[in-house]
Amino acid sequence: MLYLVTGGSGSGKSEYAEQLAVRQSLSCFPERGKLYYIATMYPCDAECLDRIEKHRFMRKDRGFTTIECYHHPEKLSFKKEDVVLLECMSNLIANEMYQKEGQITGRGAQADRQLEERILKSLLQWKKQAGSVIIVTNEVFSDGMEYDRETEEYLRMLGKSNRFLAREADAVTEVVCTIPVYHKGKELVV
Amino acid sequence: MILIVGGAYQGKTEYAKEHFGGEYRLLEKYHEVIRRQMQEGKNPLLEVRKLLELGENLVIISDEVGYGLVPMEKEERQYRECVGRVNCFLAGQAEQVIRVVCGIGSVIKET
Repeated sequence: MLYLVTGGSGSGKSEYAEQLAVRQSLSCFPERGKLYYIATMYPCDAECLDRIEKHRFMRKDRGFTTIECYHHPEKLSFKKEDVVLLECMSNLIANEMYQKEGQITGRGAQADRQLEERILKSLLQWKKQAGSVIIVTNEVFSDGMEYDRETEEYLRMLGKSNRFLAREADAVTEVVCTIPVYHKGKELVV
Repeated sequence: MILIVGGAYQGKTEYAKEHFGGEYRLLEKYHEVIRRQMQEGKNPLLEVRKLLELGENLVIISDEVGYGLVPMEKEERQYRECVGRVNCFLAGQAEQVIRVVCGIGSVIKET
């Protein structure tokens, strides 16, 4: 199963996704598989470290095994009893585009191919391997701003990823002020 | 207390007047209240608790401001995060939460 969880900043989507992951792990695969937290935020400055610490604290008693994965999701593999929470797509895509080791190096059609072949395909692989995969992403598309080309390309890549994942997902939930709004597969998550 | 959220210019106030006019005091643009409180060095999460303790029949209306890219300026990042968290808190306390999109209100929480 693949669950996509989206929302704006400060909407409570992480909390929702973590609870969903724990629930999945307990109900579907108790005492067998692992509950993985795939962390993508690169500790670049004090503010990032702060956020990372805040999220670690939030999940400390929930039984997650944390794996840092800033790029190259194809390097990870899972067992069918595992539950995997990826937090989040907006960081992963930024890392793949802007970090030295990143795999999205081209622009336009070339970037599209790299995104599909190198990143999205790997995430589908996770879906095939693990019992449940929960992916958190971000609604960053509605501030009415016009950005430079580089930033617009990032928005395009993330939008493309979100649409792809929503198509592949069994359930898509948007979190609004902590309240889940169901866009797809409500019966699977209620 | 009733919480109404949505993007700017979506008809939140109109919705509030139509559905809750008379019995409730309308608090519009609560996100701007939060910005002022931050500028004055106050903690908006504490302030909103104090507000609710008064026990008034309130309709609190706030923009959703978290649907864009992470802002470049630290203050803007903090503001955006803070509006989100205050709205999360209000949603938890509210008897009803309504989200207005293009003038259309959806009740997303009802107790």
